[in-house]
Amino acid sequence: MSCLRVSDIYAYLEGDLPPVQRGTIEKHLGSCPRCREAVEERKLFSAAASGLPDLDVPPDFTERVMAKIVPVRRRLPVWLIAFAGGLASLSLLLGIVVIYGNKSGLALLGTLNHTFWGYAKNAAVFMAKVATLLSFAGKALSALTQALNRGLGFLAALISPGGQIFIMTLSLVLLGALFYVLGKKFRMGEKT
Amino acid sequence: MSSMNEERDKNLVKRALRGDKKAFEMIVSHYQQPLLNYIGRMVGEREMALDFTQEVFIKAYASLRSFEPRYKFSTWLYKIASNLVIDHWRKKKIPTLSMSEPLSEDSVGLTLDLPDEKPSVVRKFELSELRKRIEWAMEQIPTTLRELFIWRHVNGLSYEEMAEIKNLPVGTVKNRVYQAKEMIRQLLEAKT
Repeated sequence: MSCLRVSDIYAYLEGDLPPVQRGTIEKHLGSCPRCREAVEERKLFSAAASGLPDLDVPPDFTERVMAKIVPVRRRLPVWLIAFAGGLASLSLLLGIVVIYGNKSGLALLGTLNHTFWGYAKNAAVFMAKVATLLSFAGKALSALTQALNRGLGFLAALISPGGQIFIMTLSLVLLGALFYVLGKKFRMGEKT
Repeated sequence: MSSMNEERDKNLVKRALRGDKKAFEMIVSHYQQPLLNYIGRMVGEREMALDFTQEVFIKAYASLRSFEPRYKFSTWLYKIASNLVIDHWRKKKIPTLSMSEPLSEDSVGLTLDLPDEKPSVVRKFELSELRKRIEWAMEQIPTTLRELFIWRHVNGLSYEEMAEIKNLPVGTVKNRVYQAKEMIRQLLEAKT
């Protein structure tokens, strides 16, 4: 074979050649002192280049970097967002039912004379009923919940933590109002 | 060892995303030396190199959520550093060679039919002197070739890693590294 191309020498030194080509080159090197010297030269050069010294890192470099790091904004858990979103949707839906349920604003305000414990008792009964219903509907809703979960996860990435807290607070307020209104409307667990 | 580092990095990223600053501090501590070795040799000025290295970590932290765990964290970090260095060259209007632009093989002597017969340049100097000269010659070659040479010989990256960072075929990257080596070697010869 003719003498080696420089690119072949580097490929040979890097072990990048297929066995047949490698064998051919080794055979040539056995009989060509010039190519042998060229290979040796580049081998020594590569070894020298691979041992270049480290540049000095100041001892306080890590601290300097960390002092400039702005903490990562922690995301609220997806399940919490999903829960809040679910409650908000439910609240909205039931709110519409109440609004269209022929109940005036004054009548709703009139329910304010309930005692706290009466309200809590009604809420507990209502929750128990809702829980029973949900347990039956759970399987059917699981696929829907997963899809909602994924969607809300995506939304959570777009909404700032402040916005997320606002949505959750709003949901809880709506839910409280909902229980209050429903308690009055259906008079659950109370004698009429 | 490399896969152990990969696992370690991914765990540290997870922890950092949960708000654990100590985890990110460990990342900084692991990568400050290799990044400074790379950036320092690319920009040439120590203070600027330290600022850039710091900026790489700040940018990495700010966009930690966009890191995809299917990639290596180290290559992601080098990609950020490389983009920063390219921006610096553009701002300074330093001519850069597009990585997709083919280099003339003749320009770096890769098509020489016969290796030259000049006396070995690598044997003329003590190793430390030779390395100083390599550092000088590195600054003379095109920045895009220098970058690959540094990654290969200073940072010890694999061709596959470099190809991933630069989004190029492995073969192209290998060829560019061979060209960089030969250019540097020729510069050393010309200087002696």
